[in-house]
Amino acid sequence: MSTYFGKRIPRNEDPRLLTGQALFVDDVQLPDLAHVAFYRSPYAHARILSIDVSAALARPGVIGCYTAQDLGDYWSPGPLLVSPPPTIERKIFHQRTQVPLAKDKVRHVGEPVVMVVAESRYIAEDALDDIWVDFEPLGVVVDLEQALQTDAPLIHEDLPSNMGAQVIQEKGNYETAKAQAAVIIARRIVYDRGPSVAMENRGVVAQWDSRTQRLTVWDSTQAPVFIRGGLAAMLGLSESQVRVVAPFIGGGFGPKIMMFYPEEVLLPWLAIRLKRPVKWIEDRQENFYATTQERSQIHHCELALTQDGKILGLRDEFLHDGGAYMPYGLTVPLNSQANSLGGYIIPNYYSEFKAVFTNRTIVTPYRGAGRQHGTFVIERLLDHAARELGIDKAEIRRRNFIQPEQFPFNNEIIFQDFAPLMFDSGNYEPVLDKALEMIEYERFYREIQPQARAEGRKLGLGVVFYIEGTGIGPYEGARVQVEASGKVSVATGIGTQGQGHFTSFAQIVADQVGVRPQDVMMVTGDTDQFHWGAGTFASRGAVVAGNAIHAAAQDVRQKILHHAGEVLEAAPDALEIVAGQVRVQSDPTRSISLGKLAQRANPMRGAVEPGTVPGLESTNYFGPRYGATAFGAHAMIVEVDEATLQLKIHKYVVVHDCGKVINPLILDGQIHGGVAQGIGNAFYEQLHMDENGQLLNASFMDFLIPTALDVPHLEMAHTETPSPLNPLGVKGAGEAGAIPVGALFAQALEDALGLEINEIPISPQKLFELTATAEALA
Amino acid sequence: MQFSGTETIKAGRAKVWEFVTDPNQVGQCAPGLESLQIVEPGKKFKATISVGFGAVKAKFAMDAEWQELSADDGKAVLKARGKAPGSAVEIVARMNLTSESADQTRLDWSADVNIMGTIAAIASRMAQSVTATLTAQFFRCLKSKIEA
Repeated sequence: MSTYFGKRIPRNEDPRLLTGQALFVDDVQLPDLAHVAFYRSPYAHARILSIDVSAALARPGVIGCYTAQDLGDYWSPGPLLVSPPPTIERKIFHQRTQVPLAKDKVRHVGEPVVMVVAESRYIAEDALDDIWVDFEPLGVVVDLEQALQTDAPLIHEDLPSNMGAQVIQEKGNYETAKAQAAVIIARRIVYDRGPSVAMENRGVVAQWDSRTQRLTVWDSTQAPVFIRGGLAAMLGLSESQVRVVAPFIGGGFGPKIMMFYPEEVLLPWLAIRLKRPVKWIEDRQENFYATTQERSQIHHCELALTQDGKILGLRDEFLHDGGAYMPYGLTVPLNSQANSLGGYIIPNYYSEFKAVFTNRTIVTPYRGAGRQHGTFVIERLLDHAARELGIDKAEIRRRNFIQPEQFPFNNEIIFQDFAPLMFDSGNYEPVLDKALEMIEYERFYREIQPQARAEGRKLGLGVVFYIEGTGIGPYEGARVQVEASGKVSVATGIGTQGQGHFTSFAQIVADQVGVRPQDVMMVTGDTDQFHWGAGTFASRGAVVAGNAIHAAAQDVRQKILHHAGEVLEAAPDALEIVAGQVRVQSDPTRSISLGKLAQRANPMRGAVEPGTVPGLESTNYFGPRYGATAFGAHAMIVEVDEATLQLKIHKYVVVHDCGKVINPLILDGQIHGGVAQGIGNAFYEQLHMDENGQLLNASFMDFLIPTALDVPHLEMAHTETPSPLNPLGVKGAGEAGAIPVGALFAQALEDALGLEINEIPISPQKLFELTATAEALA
Repeated sequence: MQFSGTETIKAGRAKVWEFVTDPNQVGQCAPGLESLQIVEPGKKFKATISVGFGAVKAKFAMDAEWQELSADDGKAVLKARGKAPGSAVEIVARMNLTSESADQTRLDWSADVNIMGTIAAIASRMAQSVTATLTAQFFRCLKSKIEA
């Protein structure tokens, strides 16, 4: 029974978005609104000796200036969002979380020191220049390896070193495997990433209503329910007094689930104190410092293989840049560990990472969330092994794939959700085969590349495989209700940042309740409408909230059939729901509309059977035992201009499997966006920092992101291996596009230029350096 | 950013010393100097300096302090800290005067300039060349004033 599930239908929300009718945080205008700006540290590491705000306070239009001292007992380090998995035994973790305003010292450029509130943002910004902070500069740590040297300045002086965490995960015995190996491939690999560069920066508007004693916060968060609970606890309010609204958001990508950002803690406090609504909207330069990002890992890794290319074991020791604080626990490096196993059978495995404090912006998950780093490690090592052993690069992957009958496959290490890293289902070879077919793999090496080389052109092909752990717990919930109008309202706790929830969720409900998706009114991310749930992250919305919505819609369907059966004097299983009408299958003239039925289920007068629950409504929940694992292959043909070392992508192929597809159009969009961000990561974007911890390219003048011209047309195909973990059989797809692009670029560029690449991002400049080095060595 | 250089000035060491260690005199050569205030003679002074890094113009409020001022051996170390909107600067400048003859003095100098915040973020590509240009301009002025 799927009229709409699986259909490629346009998005319900697009008319609102495309005509500028959707509400974003900055659209919230309130009477008497005051505006906030932050004095942020220009120093990467310094002690605060004194702060003088007197000149700022004297400026006309300034309402107040607040330092850490002014916050009194409200000043407190933020909560630890994700604790290290209790299920991992060999670990060290030093909890150091961000503070609302720096008190004694600053630990990265952009850390907020003073909050200024004024009648306008202009006045508030001008007042920032009136503030004098006496800083005593301290030694700065920006390099991961230097950070761990014994003479490195300490970012958290109460710790013995800048090591924030250490985790060892192991299965089998790598050293034994190594001793049996025919070949060992060992490399130093550096994978760097940057900010997510969402179209919309962060923003918070907070309003305290003294008459109703309620706080309303509009917040560009991916996790409104937790923000609500946290704010109520911090401010000493009942949860029922706090409403958090995450309206439309111009891109989340992970950094918007960091909790709590200083601004999210401070604005609500300020609104209550001033009894005035207050607004702060992050500007683009602030975003480079004050919104979390992902950055580099340095891997020392080796792969042990047999002569015929079978993997015996993987050893990986890496450093992970955590930034100045680590509020998000170890999610990113744990994902790197998981993805370094790829979709391959790796019987012996040793992985050890150290997460390092640096004087840099905090690192939290950004689309892919460490999966890029791990994927790069295993895919690179396999490429090098294939070359060394004289095995075709597609073939070496094929020889190591987990086979369809081996699922569910237990990788015997712990994943970010604390559960064992289990792959629920998969069928990898057809995906690789399809990608090879679409990229015309054989023809490329038989005809196209030799011909290009004969013409002096540098043409290369890449083909890589990846897995994506998605749809992790704990749970989400939803309420589905048929209204008296015959239309259906649905509320869920997760927020929406462009994923098409108003359409894909509506499709799920429409199939159950027998209406059109356009007749389903979705509410996401408003805690007054639904206040249970964890949030939008880890490619889990469709899986976890989708299945909760499905469960609630199924309940409602049963209620509809039950009520209609009474009215139509027929057994519920003799009924069908078509176009908003419940009718007897054998006699469609006997029918009643959903609207009438909803009214009947909610009588205004009279008596009901004791125990009657009103309405055609249900609230239900879904939580998977563990995450569902999607997978796919990317392939591309790239040409490098020998003079400029710029590149042109001739063909880009994505073959992807995320289980059952709810809406192929939306899925394609997710893949497109992911690949675009992947290309940015692989070839354009890099944060450049000097030795003082100063970001040297914190603007779009200098920080390159790919434009429409740099993102090729994608040729896409999907296979469907349903997940056994949820009734809809779906897996997440939000991060897939972005994950393997670095590995793909490295392989394709190597193929084109005949050199070895063990780092990302790459760039024309970097290619020039590598070419020069290769020539010097030759 | 680190800068250093050597200038030969046609004047005796005492005359050069007197000029370069007097903020009021040397200030005449400081590019973009808008105001100067002696806080503690021979020790501390404040200055306001406007600098343009390409399209980015900034006014720095500087606090400067002589950390070493030794007329006998011609050595001086000046430490200055300043701020501009969203930015900060830290400078340590070293100078060493050597008498080459009665009317010729060699000035060896070096400066460690750290620019932080907004200006580092959006004008760093310009900072090195701008600073080099301003330094050259400064010494040209210095020589002409002393040698005059």
